[in-house]
Amino acid sequence: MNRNRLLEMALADKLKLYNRLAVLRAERKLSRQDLGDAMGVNYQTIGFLERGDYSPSLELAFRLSKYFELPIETIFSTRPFKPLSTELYGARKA
Amino acid sequence: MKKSQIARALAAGLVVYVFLFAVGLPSLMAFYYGAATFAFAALMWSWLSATRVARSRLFRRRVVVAMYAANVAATVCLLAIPDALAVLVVSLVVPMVAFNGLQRMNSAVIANLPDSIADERQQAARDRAYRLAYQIVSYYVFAVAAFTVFARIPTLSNSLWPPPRSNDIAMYWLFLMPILTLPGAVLAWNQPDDLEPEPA
Repeated sequence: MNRNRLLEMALADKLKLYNRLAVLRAERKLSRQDLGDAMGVNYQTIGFLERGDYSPSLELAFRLSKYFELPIETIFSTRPFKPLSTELYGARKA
Repeated sequence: MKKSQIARALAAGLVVYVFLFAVGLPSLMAFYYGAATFAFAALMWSWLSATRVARSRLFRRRVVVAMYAANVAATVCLLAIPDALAVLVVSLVVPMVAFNGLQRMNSAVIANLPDSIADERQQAARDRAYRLAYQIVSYYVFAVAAFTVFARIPTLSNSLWPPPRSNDIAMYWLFLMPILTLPGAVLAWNQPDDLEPEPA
């Protein structure tokens, strides 16, 4: 996707942000309330993020990145994520 | 709001109408009191049925529609009944019940959260809501002001409001000018210094 198109979509507030929060949270056996408390946001906000109904601020994205000890682009993407297993084993086959 | 609750509110209004008509009140007056009772009962039930677990948007929207419909009905009744006690009761109770009804819905509570409590999503949702509400109120005040100036409300023509026509235009601008300019004025007041243009 070219840069101008991305900029246009962002300006039109149509840029959908995908994330792996639900998977990361499940892996660590965290409830939405736990993660919300750790991030200083309401548990509903975690749910909205997971559902893709809300895109986080840069500050919250950085806090999540620090909390999960993962790069931001591992947690958030402008393209849908492939399942982790596909990424791992697909990469090995190649 | 369930159909059974609307039916109960209608029944309450009907009982009041029949009772007042039976004790000798003019039919139209009894009807107004009956309608006011219906509006009040509908509002109360919309309030009571809105709980903190009302997660469905469809349900919340029904409650909101019921609240405003009841509010309009109550206002019409107030204009029709020149009764000080009714005016006092309805004008105190209707906003209180409506406000409390909204307070019982999680999604609506956000509207009144201070920055210290609301997180970034809640702040964004609240600010968007205030922006939209401001625009709606602007159109609403514009329409009411225009109506007051150009049409007047016949039922209020003997009271102190509206003021004499010579003052109407002044009142119109007193309300309208801030409404049209306030967001820009707040931004002009709060924004930091603009940057100098970069040399070409």
